[in-house]
Order: sequence, then structure tokens, then C-alpha cells
Amino acid sequence: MKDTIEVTIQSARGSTHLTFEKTTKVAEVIETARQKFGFEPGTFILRRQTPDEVLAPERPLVSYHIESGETLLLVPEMGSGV
Amino acid sequence: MAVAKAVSRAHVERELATIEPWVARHGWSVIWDDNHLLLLVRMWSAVDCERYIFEFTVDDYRELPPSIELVHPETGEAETRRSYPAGGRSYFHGKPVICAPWNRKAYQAYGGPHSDWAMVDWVTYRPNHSRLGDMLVLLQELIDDDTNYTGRMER
Repeated sequence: MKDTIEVTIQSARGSTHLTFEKTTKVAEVIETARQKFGFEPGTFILRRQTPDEVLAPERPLVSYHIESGETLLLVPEMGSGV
Repeated sequence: MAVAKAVSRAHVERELATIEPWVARHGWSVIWDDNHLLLLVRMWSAVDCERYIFEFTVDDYRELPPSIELVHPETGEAETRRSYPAGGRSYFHGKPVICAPWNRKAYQAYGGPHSDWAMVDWVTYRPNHSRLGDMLVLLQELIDDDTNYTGRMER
């Protein structure tokens, strides 16, 4: 069994294919993708589509049983109007 | 400080090139009038299936942020409370205006409530919402957010 997971991460700034160790924490996935897309540091949400759920930053990818090839969505936190 | 039309057009088209997955996912209708530098995006709220049409005027983009207005999908009226969503974590100001530094109309010089922002710095205030795709995805999230979105601002 492979120890890595390949995922596609989509943001409003494009899509990228990334490979991570299964034990990689979601926070690290977010940070890698953030840099790839050229977002500034901040708070981000990484969302799985099926089932529709927000991935907790402190959990490892493997804990969500994410399949290789899945697409995850990265969005900056909404914040609030001012 | 006018930006050449071709430059604004190039910025917009480069930024729109990355949003296709979101267009498909949310069923957006996107009309880009490159001659008039006008972008129309129709979205649906997942909460109540209301339709909202966001009109981005992008002359002088990216020197200036886009000027964003809402158009009612049935009556065609714009700049009214009937054309706006309500809630939206205070982005949807009752004036009505989208109250964010990435909207030209939020600045006092353009009739908005903010005299405390310098438009020249608009990109730096919310850098992760400083591209058209970022703004569109955020707007969709706001009208899908059942913890804050409350439907059309006025019937």
C-alpha cells in the first residue's frame, strides 16, 4: 500500500496536483497549497467535496480516508465586511 | 492615472481563466463584455435558491478595484435593497453596497461609507481577496452561508 496520497487542490487562483505522505497534517497541506497559489499568509479552509466537510487543520490526511486523486477546495477564510 | 483598456482587459481575462471549475460547480452564468469592461456573474444561493447578479465594472483595473453593483434578476433594477442579499457577515451593507476594500463603491469618493481607506492601497487591505476569482468565490460563500445569509435584503 502506498504511503502517499495524490490530491488535486483547487482555489480561485487555479488548480494544482500535489502528493503528500498520508500522515501529513491538513495544516501542512494548506500551507503548501497557499504558497503554490501565491496567497498571503492567513487563515484558510480546506474542504472536501464528497462528503462535504471542512478538514480540521490538526488532523492527518489519512484520518479522512481521502482517496488518491480526490479534489479538495482551498479558500481563504471569509472574514467580515468593514 | 487611467489604465489602458487593453491592460485592464488582460488583467481580467487572466484572472477569469482560473475560475472555470467554480463556474461549473456552482452553475454561474458569466458574461464578459470586453468592449465595455463589464463583467456580469449570476449566482444562486444554496440556502434559498435566490438568484443574484453581480455586475463588475473594471475600467482602470487593477489601479482601482472593480466597481461592484447588484442587479435584480427579474426587474433589472440596480443599487436597490431589493437587488442585494442580506447578512453576509457585514459585507452586504444596508446602504446598499458591498462593504469591502475590493469594491470601489465602498469608498467615500464613490459614494460609499469609507473615508478611512486609501484606494491606492486596495490590494493590500485584503490581499487574499484581491483578484476577481477570489471575490467571486467569496460572494458565493456569503450567499451559501446559512449561519449569516438571510435572503434578499428587501422584497
